Amino acid sequence: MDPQVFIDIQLDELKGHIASYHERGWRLANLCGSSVDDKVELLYSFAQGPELENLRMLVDNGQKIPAVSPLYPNAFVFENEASELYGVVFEGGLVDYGGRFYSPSVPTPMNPASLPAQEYLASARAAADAEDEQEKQGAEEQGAEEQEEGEKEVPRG
Amino acid sequence: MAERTVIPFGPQHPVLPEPVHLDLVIEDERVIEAIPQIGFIHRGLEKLVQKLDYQSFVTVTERICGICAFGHSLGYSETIEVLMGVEVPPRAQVLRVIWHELSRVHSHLLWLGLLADGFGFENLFMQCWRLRERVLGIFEQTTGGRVILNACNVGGVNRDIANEDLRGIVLILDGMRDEYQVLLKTFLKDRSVANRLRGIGMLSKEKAREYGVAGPFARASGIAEDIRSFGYGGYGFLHAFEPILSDECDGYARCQVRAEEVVQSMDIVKELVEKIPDGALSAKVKGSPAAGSRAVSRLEQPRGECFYYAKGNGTKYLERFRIRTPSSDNLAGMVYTMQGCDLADVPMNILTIDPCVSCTER
Repeated sequence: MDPQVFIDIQLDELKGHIASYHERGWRLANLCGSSVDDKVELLYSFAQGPELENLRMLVDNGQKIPAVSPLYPNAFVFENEASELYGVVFEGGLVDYGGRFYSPSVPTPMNPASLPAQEYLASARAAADAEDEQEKQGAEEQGAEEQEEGEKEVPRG
Repeated sequence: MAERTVIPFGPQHPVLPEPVHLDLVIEDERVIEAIPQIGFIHRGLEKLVQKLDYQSFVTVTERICGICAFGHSLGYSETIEVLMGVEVPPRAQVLRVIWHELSRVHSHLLWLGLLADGFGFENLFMQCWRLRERVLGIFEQTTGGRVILNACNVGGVNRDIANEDLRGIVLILDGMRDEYQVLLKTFLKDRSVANRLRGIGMLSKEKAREYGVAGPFARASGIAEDIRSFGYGGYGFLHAFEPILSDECDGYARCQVRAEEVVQSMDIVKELVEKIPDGALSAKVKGSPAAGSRAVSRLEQPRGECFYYAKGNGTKYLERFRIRTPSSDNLAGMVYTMQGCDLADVPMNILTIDPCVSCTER
């Protein structure tokens, strides 16, 4: 069983920790995000042989995070993934796909609290309201026309 | 200076069993840069963990990929067992490893066949897949399924293999071994194979470390990393385990490592069949993962180290489940090996790295 080491850190400590693991020859085994209420939790996992340590960091939605891909190139996949699925903003990454790595059809589908997701939801709601309004107006106009036609109809016999 | 051109490669291509797209920047038929793009089969399975209870989710993990199916159900189950402090019975641990190593044999034989097909050695391709059928036959005999085995659960395994059936599996593998030696000799001694693969996609040991590659891709560059060597779970029953390595760092080395790992996996199954203890098949698992509980685990999948992370919230639904697959770890290394590669070698280079896109996209 892998050792279960979880270390809580703050954003300003991240760079120092990453540099330390890199200097000691540890490998980046994982980087992932998860949404926690209106924040995002980032988990960085480092491995060296059977040793495994995890750094846990809670950040605000939209807060800028220094990228680790310049030191660990394999992180470019994880950073773009966290960026597209959770809306995490990484600064200074090796490759920024700008939302075209997974190309999700809605912004940050795994994190509805992110700013892009909120904006998307607001615009989708506005579009749906406008459509409802248009339908309502159309139905009213149609009702009025039908009434007018009924009045014009000459009774038989 | 030669003109630079961008050539789209994939997502549909004869050598790609799964969709991945590469923009190849080329200059005089030589690749200067490769920019990968995925997302064609992203299914959001990690999110589904919030809709299915932690025990039912095993069935979803088996459907992440058609090659590493059993491995994902094993990796997921092990992570939840750590999360909930479940002790798996020894017989179940060994049975899990037997199925997992057989999966490695079938995965590597499938890959060796695809590689042979890629360089036009059709007969070798057919022979590899013919042998692979026997492993699928063992799966069918022992679980009823050929790809989706539904044999693993949180706490242990769903079914037993009788000791005499286990000895029968060893006999099948012994029969396969003799025939496989002929194929192994072809892969490792035939000039046509070596001519096509030597020098393709070089990745030095230093670069392999820098790019954090995993599995046979890393071991072919001389990095002795294999989660099986830590002796977790059923691997603890093995007398010894040494990863298969090569220092040649090219496509041929990757072929050699995988080809020899087939024999190694057969040896593991044989040793475990001799040592398998009697006893229960599954531990009782009650309750739900505690709120705020976290667990990580790693498993050596056929393509390398797979990382699992689970987070509980006090209900039977998990808060978060993450799989970092070996192929997503190897993507940066694959892009590196493309630089300077001949355009004609690109398909072979991708094949030797063996990316599994279904796993990567989940």
